[in-house]
Amino acid sequence: MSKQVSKEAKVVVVNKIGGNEQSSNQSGGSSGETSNASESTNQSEARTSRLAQVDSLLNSNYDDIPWDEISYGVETMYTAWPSISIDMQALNVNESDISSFSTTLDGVAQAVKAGDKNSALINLYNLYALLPKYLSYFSSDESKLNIYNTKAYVLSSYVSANSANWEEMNTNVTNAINTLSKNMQTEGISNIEKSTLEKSYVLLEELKRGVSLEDKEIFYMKYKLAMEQLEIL
Amino acid sequence: MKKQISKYLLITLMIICVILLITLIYIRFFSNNESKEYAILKEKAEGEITYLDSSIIQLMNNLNNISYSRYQVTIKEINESEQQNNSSSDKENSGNGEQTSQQGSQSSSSEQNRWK
Repeated sequence: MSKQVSKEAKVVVVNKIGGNEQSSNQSGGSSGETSNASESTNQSEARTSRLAQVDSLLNSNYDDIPWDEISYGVETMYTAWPSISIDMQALNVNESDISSFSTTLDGVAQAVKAGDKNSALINLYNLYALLPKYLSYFSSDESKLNIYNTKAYVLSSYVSANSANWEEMNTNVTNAINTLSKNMQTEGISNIEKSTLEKSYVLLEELKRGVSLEDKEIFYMKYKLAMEQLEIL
Repeated sequence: MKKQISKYLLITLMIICVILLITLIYIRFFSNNESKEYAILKEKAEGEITYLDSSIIQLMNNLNNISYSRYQVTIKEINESEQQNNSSSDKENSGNGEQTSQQGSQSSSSEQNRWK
Protein backbone atom coordinates (compact mmCIF):
# COMPACT_ATOMS: atom_id res chain seq x y z
CA MET A 1 0.00 0.00 0.00
CA SER A 2 2.76 2.39 0.85
CA LYS A 3 4.02 1.85 -2.66
CA GLN A 4 0.71 3.12 -4.04
CA VAL A 5 0.82 6.17 -1.83
CA SER A 6 4.26 7.06 -2.99
CA LYS A 7 3.19 6.71 -6.60
CA GLU A 8 0.03 8.80 -6.32
CA ALA A 9 -0.56 11.02 -9.32
CA LYS A 10 -2.84 13.80 -8.15
CA VAL A 11 -5.50 14.70 -5.59
CA VAL A 12 -8.96 14.46 -7.12
CA VAL A 13 -11.57 15.19 -4.46
CA VAL A 14 -11.62 16.15 -0.81
CA ASN A 15 -14.95 15.37 0.85
CA LYS A 16 -15.84 16.44 4.37
CA ILE A 17 -18.16 14.18 6.28
CA GLY A 18 -19.69 14.90 9.67
CA GLY A 19 -21.99 17.64 10.97
CA ASN A 20 -23.51 19.70 8.16
CA GLU A 21 -20.63 19.08 5.79
CA GLN A 22 -21.59 15.55 4.89
CA SER A 23 -20.97 15.00 1.23
CA SER A 24 -23.92 14.08 -0.99
CA ASN A 25 -21.99 11.82 -3.29
CA GLN A 26 -20.90 9.36 -0.66
CA SER A 27 -22.22 5.82 -0.83
CA GLY A 28 -25.16 5.20 1.49
CA GLY A 29 -23.50 2.63 3.74
CA SER A 30 -20.25 4.39 4.38
CA SER A 31 -21.71 7.87 4.82
CA GLY A 32 -24.26 6.44 7.26
CA GLU A 33 -21.52 4.90 9.30
CA THR A 34 -19.42 8.04 9.38
CA SER A 35 -22.34 10.31 10.27
CA ASN A 36 -23.29 8.00 13.16
CA ALA A 37 -19.73 8.11 14.33
CA SER A 38 -19.71 11.90 14.15
CA GLU A 39 -22.92 12.13 16.22
CA SER A 40 -21.59 9.93 18.99
CA THR A 41 -18.10 11.34 19.25
CA ASN A 42 -18.74 14.84 17.85
CA GLN A 43 -15.88 14.47 15.43
CA SER A 44 -15.71 15.29 11.75
CA GLU A 45 -13.95 13.20 9.17
CA ALA A 46 -12.46 14.10 5.85
CA ARG A 47 -11.79 11.83 2.93
CA THR A 48 -9.29 12.44 0.25
CA SER A 49 -9.52 10.55 -3.00
CA ARG A 50 -6.38 10.15 -5.04
CA LEU A 51 -5.40 8.61 -8.30
CA ALA A 52 -2.57 6.20 -7.76
CA GLN A 53 -0.65 4.25 -10.35
CA VAL A 54 -1.38 0.54 -10.54
CA ASP A 55 1.56 -1.66 -9.55
CA SER A 56 3.81 -2.74 -12.40
CA LEU A 57 3.37 -6.33 -13.54
CA LEU A 58 7.14 -6.74 -13.38
CA ASN A 59 7.03 -6.39 -9.60
CA SER A 60 3.51 -7.63 -8.94
CA ASN A 61 2.54 -10.24 -6.40
CA TYR A 62 0.91 -12.97 -8.47
CA ASP A 63 -0.08 -15.05 -5.45
CA ASP A 64 -2.28 -12.36 -3.93
CA ILE A 65 -5.46 -13.39 -5.79
CA PRO A 66 -8.71 -11.45 -5.22
CA TRP A 67 -10.89 -14.57 -4.81
CA ASP A 68 -13.92 -12.58 -3.58
CA GLU A 69 -13.94 -10.48 -6.73
CA ILE A 70 -13.50 -13.58 -8.89
CA SER A 71 -16.30 -15.52 -7.17
CA TYR A 72 -18.58 -12.50 -7.64
CA GLY A 73 -17.72 -12.51 -11.37
CA VAL A 74 -18.51 -16.24 -11.60
CA GLU A 75 -21.84 -15.67 -9.86
CA THR A 76 -22.69 -12.92 -12.34
CA MET A 77 -21.96 -15.32 -15.18
CA TYR A 78 -24.30 -17.89 -13.60
CA THR A 79 -27.00 -15.20 -13.54
CA ALA A 80 -26.54 -14.32 -17.21
CA TRP A 81 -26.13 -17.85 -18.59
CA PRO A 82 -29.79 -19.10 -18.61
CA SER A 83 -31.01 -16.38 -20.99
CA ILE A 84 -27.86 -16.73 -23.13
CA SER A 85 -28.39 -20.50 -23.42
CA ILE A 86 -32.01 -19.94 -24.54
CA ASP A 87 -30.81 -17.61 -27.29
CA MET A 88 -28.15 -20.14 -28.34
CA GLN A 89 -30.82 -22.85 -28.56
CA ALA A 90 -32.95 -20.56 -30.72
CA LEU A 91 -29.96 -20.12 -33.03
CA ASN A 92 -29.58 -23.90 -33.40
CA VAL A 93 -26.37 -24.23 -31.41
CA ASN A 94 -25.69 -27.89 -30.62
CA GLU A 95 -27.25 -28.98 -27.33
CA SER A 96 -24.07 -30.72 -26.14
CA ASP A 97 -22.04 -27.53 -26.74
CA ILE A 98 -24.55 -25.56 -24.67
CA SER A 99 -24.50 -28.05 -21.81
CA SER A 100 -20.69 -28.21 -21.80
CA PHE A 101 -20.66 -24.49 -20.93
CA SER A 102 -22.74 -25.19 -17.82
CA THR A 103 -20.51 -28.12 -16.85
CA THR A 104 -17.33 -26.08 -17.31
CA LEU A 105 -18.81 -23.14 -15.40
CA ASP A 106 -19.44 -25.54 -12.51
CA GLY A 107 -15.79 -26.54 -12.78
CA VAL A 108 -14.76 -22.88 -12.54
CA ALA A 109 -16.95 -22.40 -9.46
CA GLN A 110 -15.47 -25.45 -7.78
CA ALA A 111 -11.92 -24.32 -8.55
CA VAL A 112 -12.62 -20.81 -7.25
CA LYS A 113 -14.20 -22.22 -4.09
CA ALA A 114 -11.16 -24.43 -3.53
CA GLY A 115 -8.79 -21.54 -4.32
CA ASP A 116 -7.15 -23.62 -7.06
CA LYS A 117 -5.63 -21.07 -9.46
CA ASN A 118 -4.43 -23.54 -12.11
CA SER A 119 -7.75 -25.39 -12.30
CA ALA A 120 -9.65 -22.08 -12.43
CA LEU A 121 -7.46 -20.91 -15.31
CA ILE A 122 -7.92 -24.16 -17.27
CA ASN A 123 -11.70 -24.18 -16.77
CA LEU A 124 -12.00 -20.51 -17.71
CA TYR A 125 -9.99 -21.16 -20.86
CA ASN A 126 -12.28 -24.11 -21.70
CA LEU A 127 -15.24 -21.75 -21.29
CA TYR A 128 -13.63 -19.26 -23.63
CA ALA A 129 -12.88 -21.93 -26.24
CA LEU A 130 -16.64 -22.50 -26.59
CA LEU A 131 -17.32 -18.93 -27.70
CA PRO A 132 -15.90 -19.15 -31.27
CA LYS A 133 -17.72 -22.48 -31.56
CA TYR A 134 -21.04 -20.80 -30.71
CA LEU A 135 -20.35 -17.93 -33.05
CA SER A 136 -19.65 -20.30 -35.96
CA TYR A 137 -23.25 -21.61 -35.73
CA PHE A 138 -24.89 -18.35 -36.68
CA SER A 139 -22.25 -15.93 -37.94
CA SER A 140 -20.62 -16.04 -41.33
CA ASP A 141 -18.20 -13.25 -40.40
CA GLU A 142 -14.84 -14.96 -40.81
CA SER A 143 -12.81 -12.03 -39.49
CA LYS A 144 -14.77 -12.01 -36.22
CA LEU A 145 -14.22 -15.74 -35.84
CA ASN A 146 -10.50 -15.27 -36.50
CA ILE A 147 -10.28 -12.64 -33.75
CA TYR A 148 -11.99 -14.94 -31.24
CA ASN A 149 -9.70 -17.80 -32.24
CA THR A 150 -6.63 -15.53 -31.94
CA LYS A 151 -7.68 -14.54 -28.42
CA ALA A 152 -8.29 -18.20 -27.57
CA TYR A 153 -4.72 -19.06 -28.62
CA VAL A 154 -3.31 -16.18 -26.58
CA LEU A 155 -5.34 -17.26 -23.55
CA SER A 156 -4.12 -20.80 -24.01
CA SER A 157 -0.53 -19.58 -23.83
CA TYR A 158 -1.49 -17.51 -20.76
CA VAL A 159 -2.78 -20.67 -19.05
CA SER A 160 0.42 -22.53 -19.97
CA ALA A 161 2.46 -19.68 -18.46
CA ASN A 162 1.14 -20.67 -15.05
CA SER A 163 2.87 -24.04 -15.38
CA ALA A 164 5.80 -22.49 -17.32
CA ASN A 165 5.23 -24.71 -20.34
CA TRP A 166 7.25 -22.56 -22.72
CA GLU A 167 7.09 -24.87 -25.74
CA GLU A 168 3.31 -25.01 -25.69
CA MET A 169 3.18 -21.26 -25.18
CA ASN A 170 5.36 -20.71 -28.22
CA THR A 171 3.11 -22.93 -30.38
CA ASN A 172 -0.01 -21.14 -29.20
CA VAL A 173 1.38 -17.66 -29.80
CA THR A 174 2.54 -18.72 -33.28
CA ASN A 175 -0.98 -20.02 -34.00
CA ALA A 176 -2.41 -16.71 -32.75
CA ILE A 177 -0.14 -14.77 -35.13
CA ASN A 178 -1.08 -17.01 -38.08
CA THR A 179 -4.81 -16.67 -37.33
CA LEU A 180 -4.66 -12.91 -37.03
CA SER A 181 -2.62 -12.59 -40.22
CA LYS A 182 -5.59 -14.10 -42.13
CA ASN A 183 -7.57 -10.98 -41.23
CA MET A 184 -4.79 -8.74 -42.47
CA GLN A 185 -5.01 -10.33 -45.90
CA THR A 186 -8.76 -9.67 -46.26
CA GLU A 187 -9.63 -7.01 -48.79
CA GLY A 188 -11.86 -4.03 -48.23
CA ILE A 189 -10.87 -3.20 -44.66
CA SER A 190 -10.60 0.43 -43.68
CA ASN A 191 -7.29 2.14 -42.87
CA ILE A 192 -8.23 2.41 -39.19
CA GLU A 193 -8.99 -1.31 -38.99
CA LYS A 194 -5.78 -2.06 -40.82
CA SER A 195 -3.66 -0.03 -38.41
CA THR A 196 -5.39 -1.63 -35.39
CA LEU A 197 -4.73 -5.07 -36.86
CA GLU A 198 -1.11 -4.17 -37.58
CA LYS A 199 -0.62 -2.98 -34.00
CA SER A 200 -2.14 -6.22 -32.68
CA TYR A 201 0.16 -8.19 -34.96
CA VAL A 202 3.23 -6.33 -33.70
CA LEU A 203 2.17 -6.89 -30.08
CA LEU A 204 1.72 -10.61 -30.73
CA GLU A 205 5.20 -10.73 -32.26
CA GLU A 206 6.43 -9.02 -29.08
CA LEU A 207 4.59 -11.64 -27.03
CA LYS A 208 6.38 -14.37 -28.97
CA ARG A 209 9.69 -12.70 -28.17
CA GLY A 210 8.58 -12.60 -24.52
CA VAL A 211 7.97 -16.36 -24.62
CA SER A 212 11.45 -16.96 -25.99
CA LEU A 213 12.89 -15.07 -22.98
CA GLU A 214 11.20 -17.64 -20.71
CA ASP A 215 10.43 -14.93 -18.15
CA LYS A 216 6.94 -15.06 -16.65
CA GLU A 217 6.77 -11.42 -15.57
CA ILE A 218 7.81 -10.12 -18.99
CA PHE A 219 5.35 -12.51 -20.62
CA TYR A 220 2.49 -11.24 -18.43
CA MET A 221 3.40 -7.64 -19.23
CA LYS A 222 3.39 -8.34 -22.97
CA TYR A 223 0.26 -10.49 -22.69
CA LYS A 224 -1.58 -7.59 -21.07
CA LEU A 225 -0.61 -5.21 -23.87
CA ALA A 226 -1.52 -7.70 -26.61
CA MET A 227 -4.83 -8.69 -25.05
CA GLU A 228 -5.81 -5.08 -24.42
CA GLN A 229 -5.26 -4.36 -28.11
CA LEU A 230 -7.09 -7.51 -29.25
CA GLU A 231 -10.10 -6.52 -27.18
CA ILE A 232 -10.40 -3.33 -29.24
CA LEU A 233 -10.75 -5.34 -32.47
CA MET B 1 -74.97 -19.82 -73.02
CA LYS B 2 -71.37 -19.77 -74.18
CA LYS B 3 -71.06 -16.14 -73.18
CA GLN B 4 -72.37 -16.91 -69.69
CA ILE B 5 -69.84 -19.73 -69.21
CA SER B 6 -66.94 -17.53 -70.24
CA LYS B 7 -68.19 -14.88 -67.85
CA TYR B 8 -68.21 -17.36 -64.94
CA LEU B 9 -64.80 -18.62 -65.94
CA LEU B 10 -63.42 -15.11 -65.94
CA ILE B 11 -64.88 -14.39 -62.51
CA THR B 12 -63.44 -17.66 -61.14
CA LEU B 13 -60.02 -16.86 -62.58
CA MET B 14 -60.12 -13.42 -61.08
CA ILE B 15 -61.02 -14.83 -57.65
CA ILE B 16 -58.18 -17.34 -57.90
CA CYS B 17 -55.76 -14.54 -58.85
CA VAL B 18 -56.85 -12.41 -55.88
CA ILE B 19 -56.47 -15.36 -53.49
CA LEU B 20 -53.00 -16.09 -54.86
CA LEU B 21 -52.00 -12.47 -54.53
CA ILE B 22 -53.18 -12.29 -50.91
CA THR B 23 -51.34 -15.54 -50.11
CA LEU B 24 -48.14 -14.24 -51.67
CA ILE B 25 -48.33 -10.96 -49.75
CA TYR B 26 -49.04 -12.87 -46.53
CA ILE B 27 -46.08 -15.25 -47.00
CA ARG B 28 -43.72 -12.43 -47.91
CA PHE B 29 -44.77 -10.36 -44.89
CA PHE B 30 -44.25 -13.24 -42.47
CA SER B 31 -40.97 -14.39 -43.97
CA ASN B 32 -39.74 -10.80 -43.72
CA ASN B 33 -40.77 -10.70 -40.08
CA GLU B 34 -39.03 -13.99 -39.40
CA SER B 35 -35.78 -12.86 -41.01
CA LYS B 36 -35.99 -9.61 -39.05
CA GLU B 37 -36.50 -11.56 -35.81
CA TYR B 38 -33.59 -13.82 -36.70
CA ALA B 39 -31.34 -10.83 -37.38
CA ILE B 40 -32.30 -9.28 -34.03
CA LEU B 41 -31.67 -12.59 -32.23
CA LYS B 42 -28.32 -12.94 -33.98
CA GLU B 43 -27.30 -9.45 -32.96
CA LYS B 44 -28.38 -10.14 -29.37
CA ALA B 45 -26.41 -13.41 -29.30
CA GLU B 46 -23.32 -11.63 -30.64
CA GLY B 47 -23.64 -9.10 -27.83
CA GLU B 48 -23.96 -11.91 -25.31
CA ILE B 49 -20.84 -13.58 -26.66
CA THR B 50 -18.98 -10.27 -26.41
CA TYR B 51 -20.11 -10.04 -22.78
CA LEU B 52 -18.92 -13.58 -22.04
CA ASP B 53 -15.65 -12.83 -23.86
CA SER B 54 -14.83 -9.82 -21.70
CA SER B 55 -16.07 -11.45 -18.48
CA ILE B 56 -13.98 -14.60 -18.95
CA ILE B 57 -10.87 -12.63 -19.89
CA GLN B 58 -11.33 -10.35 -16.88
CA LEU B 59 -11.65 -13.33 -14.55
CA MET B 60 -8.55 -14.92 -16.04
CA ASN B 61 -6.66 -11.64 -15.68
CA ASN B 62 -7.79 -11.30 -12.06
CA LEU B 63 -6.15 -14.63 -11.29
CA ASN B 64 -2.79 -12.92 -11.90
CA ASN B 65 -3.78 -9.46 -10.69
CA ILE B 66 -3.69 -8.12 -14.25
CA SER B 67 -5.79 -5.04 -14.91
CA TYR B 68 -5.97 -2.83 -18.01
CA SER B 69 -6.40 0.31 -15.92
CA ARG B 70 -3.31 2.47 -15.45
CA TYR B 71 -4.54 4.23 -12.31
CA GLN B 72 -6.76 3.35 -9.38
CA VAL B 73 -8.67 5.56 -6.96
CA THR B 74 -7.56 5.32 -3.37
CA ILE B 75 -9.51 6.89 -0.51
CA LYS B 76 -7.89 8.15 2.67
CA GLU B 77 -10.00 8.86 5.74
CA ILE B 78 -8.70 11.53 8.10
CA ASN B 79 -10.18 12.10 11.53
CA GLU B 80 -9.97 15.88 11.90
CA SER B 81 -10.49 16.06 15.66
CA GLU B 82 -7.65 13.65 16.16
CA GLN B 83 -5.58 15.65 13.75
CA GLN B 84 -6.35 18.83 15.71
CA ASN B 85 -5.42 17.04 18.93
CA ASN B 86 -2.19 16.02 17.31
CA SER B 87 -1.39 19.53 16.17
CA SER B 88 -2.28 20.98 19.59
CA SER B 89 -0.28 18.28 21.31
CA ASP B 90 2.63 19.14 19.10
CA LYS B 91 2.38 22.75 20.27
CA GLU B 92 2.11 21.68 23.90
CA ASN B 93 4.98 19.33 23.44
CA SER B 94 7.17 22.19 22.40
CA GLY B 95 6.20 24.12 25.59
CA ASN B 96 5.53 21.41 28.16
CA GLY B 97 7.49 18.20 28.36
CA GLU B 98 5.23 16.50 30.98
CA GLN B 99 2.35 15.75 28.60
CA THR B 100 4.44 13.85 26.09
CA SER B 101 3.31 10.33 26.98
CA GLN B 102 -0.40 11.22 26.84
CA GLN B 103 -0.11 12.88 23.49
CA GLY B 104 2.02 10.02 22.33
CA SER B 105 -0.96 7.70 22.65
CA GLN B 106 -3.18 10.17 20.78
CA SER B 107 -0.77 10.45 17.90
CA SER B 108 -0.68 6.69 17.59
CA SER B 109 -4.49 6.62 17.27
CA SER B 110 -4.32 9.12 14.43
CA GLU B 111 -2.19 6.64 12.56
CA GLN B 112 -5.33 4.60 12.11
CA ASN B 113 -5.94 6.72 9.02
CA ARG B 114 -6.05 4.12 6.34
CA TRP B 115 -5.75 3.75 2.61
CA LYS B 116 -8.42 1.70 0.90
